Amino acid sequence: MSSVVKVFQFLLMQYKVLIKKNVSMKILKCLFFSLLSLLVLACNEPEEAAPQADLGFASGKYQQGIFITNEGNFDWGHGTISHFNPETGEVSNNIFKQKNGFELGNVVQSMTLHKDKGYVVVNNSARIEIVNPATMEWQGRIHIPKSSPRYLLPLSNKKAYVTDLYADRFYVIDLQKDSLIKEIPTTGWTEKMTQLDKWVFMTQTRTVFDNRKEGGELLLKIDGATDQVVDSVALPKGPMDVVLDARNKLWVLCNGGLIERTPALVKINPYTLEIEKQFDFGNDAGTYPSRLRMNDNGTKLYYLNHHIYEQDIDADTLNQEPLVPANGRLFYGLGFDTQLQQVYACDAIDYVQQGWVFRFDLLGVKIDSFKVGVIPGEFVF
Amino acid sequence: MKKLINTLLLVSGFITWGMAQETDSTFYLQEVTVKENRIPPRVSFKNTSIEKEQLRENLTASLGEILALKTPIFIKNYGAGGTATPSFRGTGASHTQVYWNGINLNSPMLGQVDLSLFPVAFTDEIEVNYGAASLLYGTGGLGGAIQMNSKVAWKKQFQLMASQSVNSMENHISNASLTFGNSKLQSTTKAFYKKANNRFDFVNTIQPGQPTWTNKHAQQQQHGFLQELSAKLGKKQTLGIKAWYQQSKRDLAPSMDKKEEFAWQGDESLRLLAEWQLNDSKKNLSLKGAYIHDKLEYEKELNNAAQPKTSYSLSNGHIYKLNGIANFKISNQLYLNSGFKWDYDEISSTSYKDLDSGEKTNAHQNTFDLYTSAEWLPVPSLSISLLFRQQWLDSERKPFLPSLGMKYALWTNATFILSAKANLSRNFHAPTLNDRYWYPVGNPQLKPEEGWTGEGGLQLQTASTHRPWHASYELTAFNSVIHNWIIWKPAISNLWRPENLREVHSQGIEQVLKIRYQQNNWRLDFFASASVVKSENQKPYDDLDDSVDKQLLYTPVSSFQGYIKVKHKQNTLIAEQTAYGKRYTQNDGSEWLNPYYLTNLVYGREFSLGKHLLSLQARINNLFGYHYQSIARKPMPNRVYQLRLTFHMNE
Repeated sequence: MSSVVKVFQFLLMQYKVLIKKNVSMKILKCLFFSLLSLLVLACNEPEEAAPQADLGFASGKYQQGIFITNEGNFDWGHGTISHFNPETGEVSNNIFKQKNGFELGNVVQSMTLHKDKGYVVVNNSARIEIVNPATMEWQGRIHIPKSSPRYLLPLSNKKAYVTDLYADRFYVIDLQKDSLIKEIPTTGWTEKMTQLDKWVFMTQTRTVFDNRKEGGELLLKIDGATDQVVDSVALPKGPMDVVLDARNKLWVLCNGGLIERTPALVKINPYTLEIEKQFDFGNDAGTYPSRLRMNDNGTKLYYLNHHIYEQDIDADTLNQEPLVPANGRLFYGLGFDTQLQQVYACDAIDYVQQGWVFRFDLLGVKIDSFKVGVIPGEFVF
Repeated sequence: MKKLINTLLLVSGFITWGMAQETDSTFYLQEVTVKENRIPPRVSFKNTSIEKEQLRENLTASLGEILALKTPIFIKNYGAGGTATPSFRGTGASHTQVYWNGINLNSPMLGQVDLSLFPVAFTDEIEVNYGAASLLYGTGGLGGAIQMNSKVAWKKQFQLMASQSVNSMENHISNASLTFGNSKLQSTTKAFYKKANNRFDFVNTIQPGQPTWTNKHAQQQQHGFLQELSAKLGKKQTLGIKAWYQQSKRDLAPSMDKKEEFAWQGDESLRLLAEWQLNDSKKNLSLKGAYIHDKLEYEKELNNAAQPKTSYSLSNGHIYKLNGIANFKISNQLYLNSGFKWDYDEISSTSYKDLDSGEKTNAHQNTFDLYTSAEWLPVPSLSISLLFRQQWLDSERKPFLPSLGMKYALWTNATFILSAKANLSRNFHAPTLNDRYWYPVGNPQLKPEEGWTGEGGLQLQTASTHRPWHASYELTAFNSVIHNWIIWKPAISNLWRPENLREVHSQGIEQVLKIRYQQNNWRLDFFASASVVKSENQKPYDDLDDSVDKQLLYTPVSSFQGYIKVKHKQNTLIAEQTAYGKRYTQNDGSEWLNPYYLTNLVYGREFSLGKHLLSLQARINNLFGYHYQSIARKPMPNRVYQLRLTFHMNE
């Protein structure tokens, strides 16, 4: 303490001496230069303000293997893309940022590969980033103001549909000009799509906070030539995923909404939109089926309902025996590798840290697991 | 970095010495603060206050801004003008309790307050209670509490103040206050108006080509009005009525990942408080009744239609409070203090619905709280505090909270006093109404977050003689474990719900050094506060959870706040410095924000106009234009210039 006192007493003495000598100009000069040197010391680069991370390994070659989209935290986080090469076992994380030096934005919902291009749909950032999937080099973006895009389905080299979470519409995108052609109004949240001939089948659902009386939970049938909704069929609560099987039948997984909990797996004739089969899941708490996937020849369905289930398209009842029991995991995403006949699932842990991917064979035996980005959601094969 | 700070402090020291030469010969009268003649409550716990003079210097600041400068509380800013929430001693935002004249202002829905919405001008005194020091006022302050109090001077007076400030972000703040009265009746009226564009340029490093963007979707318009009336009933009793109305509407600025956001938030509050007090030499009784109406609105445009679809949420909180306190002086060695609190909160919100019918319902809670405490000075050098608090929430008995503290004067001579403190307490924080009732994920079965905190410290200060120097140094170490820490995490799919998942161990060391030199027309103040706080999750959520032993999100381990102030006659020069360490933005530490250092320079000059006073203040915030973020990807301003003119009538 006394040393501090001495320092200040010394400073005060110096000051008094300076006043006597009337050298205030000198002090000001001195000050100016010390301030100037401090400015140099104290300045940092704008990059240093942004969040920092150890980006990890990136192979740079992504022709073979699968992509994993990691959503990233809503609003303040950023989504990333990971790549896994099953042949070499190499895992590359943050591959978009490592190639391009900037970020994808947040809630990377999905990625669709089409004609040497990858379309990365970034939900909360209201845009679609276009990349070269072989190198992850950024090629441009399609920005749709006020949108919350979810999934993209290319209909041809020229045209794609993009669904939306909140806007009550889907978008028609020009794939050559990378621009928005038109918006088609719907009566709810548009989600997944599949195509048969010129028809596009699109699930329409409702968010849990959507209290409107009009509109419903539907499967929309859209004429891919005119972009008009030509027909629809009412479904149980929460239709999300739609896939097409080997016999050209549509399967729609309805998650039951979050409250009513009457989830169902529905088989639909795409031509008549007639419901041919409906499997109801139990009403127990925690029953929340999601992520309906199809195997390579269209004969088996895979989905999550706490555990991973496999379902034969010709079965008369729901398979009650899980293919992979959750065993402490909270599976969030699911994928089927049609080349290697393998099942992928991911766990986002607490959703505010890097998640994990698990790979299983068709008997449900774990092959391996690896760490990816924050909130892994979709697998792109 | 230490070097940098040292250099900085030294240089700013020189600046102050240099600049202080420009003074004239008008004699400056030091303001005298009258201390109340009663034993300070809970001396064995850590309490600090922000002096009135500092409140005046930061008249146009928000509560969050002044706390960031003067206390170790870390303030998270969601961008310029955005929500500001505290992290006190490594705890969460809802673990800091904010009181206005003893009335808790934390939202029963969120459990927290937005510190950006409280103008400093509406308070006469800010006190900070560290950790369990807050138990005297209520539960839930696991990190601590912030008190905003009004002061009444019973004298014949007529004072008017008007102030206008403008800064380079196109922010304008106007303040006015009128105080008048006599020894029996006093009235204070305050008004506040803020129109802020929060406009600044920043380099967007997460976009292709690193473009320079302008932060322009962050407008805020806020106004407030405060009326305080106090009356003396006879010699011993006083009656006080306070009414505070405030409204804010602001655009929610987008993150750096996009240029535009089409969302706004409205906050409106009405706070009414009536208080009766009886003071005499033996006792101090007080009874307070309060009504608070909080309205919170949020709206976001969701499509490009001519009449865009929006998502809109609205909540209205009606909060009724009754507080009673009785202080008795049994002898010069023994003081007893007891009290009760009764709170009834009723919230109607678009987010609260009946789980079965899906129909909108109101959430309400009834809290009753009793405490009793004693301050005992068995010998002059020893002081012992004991407190017991018991709360019932909706008739359910909550954890019993004991608290024991001791302060001992170890060593005293003509120059220095050295004293030691130690205390141990239990505290808890009840789940918020959102935690319990948010549709459809609210969890009524949640347990309160609770734990024990121990604290020890040493204080060295110079004896209060008429020497020009006064210095104090305080070292405090604390250790606390909080069980059943609530976090929101998806239970199924992407639907987040609150669960008692964590056990958080928080421990730290705080050091505060204050030096004041005062002689003739000169006054020098030096203040430095350096803290190291480790706050880590101890309990893995599952076998892959990598958050264990990692510092909690957005919680710096080390932080520094300091200033040097030189006053010479009517001139004041202040150099302020804050520094915060690395902060994780992911629970596993895989992403983080770099440390940041902010330097502010303030020059103030007062012009005496007979009985009146005109003061001019020029301020440069973030002098060196340091690039930083408080919340990831929310841009923060670089250098900001601010000018303020204040007129005091009959000062």
